[in-house]
Amino acid sequence: MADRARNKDGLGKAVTFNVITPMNRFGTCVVRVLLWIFDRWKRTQNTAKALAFLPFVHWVVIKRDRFPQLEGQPAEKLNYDYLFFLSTFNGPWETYIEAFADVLYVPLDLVWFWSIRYPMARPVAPLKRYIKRNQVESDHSYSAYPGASVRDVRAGLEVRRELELFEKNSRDLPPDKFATEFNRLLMSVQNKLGSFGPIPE
Amino acid sequence: MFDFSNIQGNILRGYASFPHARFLYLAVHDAGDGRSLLKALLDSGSVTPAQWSEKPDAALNLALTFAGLRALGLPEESLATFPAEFREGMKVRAKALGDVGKSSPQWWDEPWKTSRVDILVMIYGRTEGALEERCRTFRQSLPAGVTELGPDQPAGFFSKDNEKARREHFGFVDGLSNPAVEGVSRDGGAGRSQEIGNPDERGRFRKIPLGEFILGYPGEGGDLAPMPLPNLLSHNSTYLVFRKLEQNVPLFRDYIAEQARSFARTIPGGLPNGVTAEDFLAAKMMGRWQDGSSLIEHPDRPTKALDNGFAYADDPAGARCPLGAHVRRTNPRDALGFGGKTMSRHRLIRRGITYGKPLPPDERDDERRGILFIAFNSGFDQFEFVQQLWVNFGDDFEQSNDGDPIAGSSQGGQMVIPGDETTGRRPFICFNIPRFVETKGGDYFFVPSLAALRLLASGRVRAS
Repeated sequence: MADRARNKDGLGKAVTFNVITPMNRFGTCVVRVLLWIFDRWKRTQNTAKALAFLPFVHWVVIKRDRFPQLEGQPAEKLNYDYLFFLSTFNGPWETYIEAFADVLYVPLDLVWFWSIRYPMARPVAPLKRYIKRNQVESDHSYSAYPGASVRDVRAGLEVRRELELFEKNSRDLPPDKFATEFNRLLMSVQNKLGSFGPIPE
Repeated sequence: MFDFSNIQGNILRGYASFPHARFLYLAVHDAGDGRSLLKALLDSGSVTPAQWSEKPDAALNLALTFAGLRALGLPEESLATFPAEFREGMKVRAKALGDVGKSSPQWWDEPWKTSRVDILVMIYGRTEGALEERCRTFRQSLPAGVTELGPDQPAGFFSKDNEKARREHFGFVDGLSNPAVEGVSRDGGAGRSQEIGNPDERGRFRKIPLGEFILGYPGEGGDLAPMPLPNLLSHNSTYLVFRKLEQNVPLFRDYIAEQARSFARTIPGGLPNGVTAEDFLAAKMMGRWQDGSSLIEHPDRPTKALDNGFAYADDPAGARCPLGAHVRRTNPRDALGFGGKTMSRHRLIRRGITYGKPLPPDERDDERRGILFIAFNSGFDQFEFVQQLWVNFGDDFEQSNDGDPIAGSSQGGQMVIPGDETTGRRPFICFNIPRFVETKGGDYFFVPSLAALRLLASGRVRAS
């Protein structure tokens, strides 16, 4: 099992998170409508984006007759449809669940309410137990930048953008104006200069 | 309503009027003798509760490690209900806590290095004499099957120029900002005006639920912390983190002096009157001026004002208080947004106290000095989160892997001191920051309520 990527320098920062929960047919219909609304109504997505330890969150409904089979494997007879929650996060598991329960409990409850025996997001202890029971560990993880958290990636992109702007604006400037431009650059990226890399083991 | 008389005194009270302290470390070789020691202490009223009718001259409080609970004969079915971090103890958790290199357990002081501490005895005195008297009577009460592990640890508050506030060895006023706890009133003597709760949606501060610090009560979000069994053992009890943190004062002063010369060049109009570059830089790293005044409220010079109701939301880039400064990390208040919801479960009650002689300015010596970090929480995940994610790491504060410049575990780290567009001060980066604070001992402890101590003393604990 590998809940995160690993390379020669240490552990990657993004931890994988997969939860699969059963739903009845009525729940499947409701969740599909809800996910359609969330897809268009950006407020929940914006809140999730603002939770900067969250690289990726995705819900998908898998109908009972749509599970894949290996060649020659007979189809399983399932009594429920399933809600598949896929995510990656930076930081500890407990904190991730708590932040979800404290900040995003409304969409969480709306979507998961239809899953069998979902306990609601708050208080968080029953939710943690529920997730532990239904969590599926990853067999493999791949990360393009294992040493980067979401904030690191955003910071890196911003530093690049500012550097390119600086490169363009500072060409052929006399020393005093170059200094002004350099100070402007430094000020614009001052909180994006932390040292990053995999978590040392 | 909870029962103050059943909670040990140094959890909700700061013991500010007990400036002298001594910490004794005990090993229990005989469960019966260990239990009879607890019984004798309870029968004589020696364990100080949070509620007293008259302030005593000395106070005594007790805490036990996992090994200590086992040595007292607590049955395995009860021991198994304690949290994993507690069962493992601090030595096993060393790597996760950043206790590596010279801070690793092989370099710790005695008795932590080679012995197993079962019971931590914390004795405080209003005077040196009262402290010594209480230590003497306590030592006389030790039965044969309980021995003291040496050396003991003297400690005490010190202040500068007869001021009331106490300082730590780097020169900063300490112990300013503890959590304001629901149900703990200032009138009761336990609360202090500088205590600060957690931010709410409207940017104000609200008190923190008791369950964050005492077992058996709802905490943030209405959650109860996991309770070891039986309930009588855990209700009104809590957990204590005890760390002996050695502060290398000459190293800190040398680094500040060296960096201050370059830092001064980033300030176009020169330094404010009466402020040295060393003071300014040290304040930026700590997040407060040395006299305790806030960089948010008083960004240009110290004012001795200890008002503590400031927030970071109006300083998002850290122009006044850097994002990576020690106090902004350890209690980010509203800095992380979401109405404080992503920080509210990570508060600690701190009851630290200094040890060793203060080093006068411009002097050097080989004395050892530091702070005994004492923190109470209703689960060690609270402390470990702060230590791992906020002190030794920086992602939550846009600092990537850079740790706390004062108390972090990294050797040769860096810190950005953001510039200030309003004054024209340019950003400054401190490189190659040495590790100023090394861990020299400590462990995780269970602090039983007085009723739980009596249960332990009875030897009749059943987990169900």
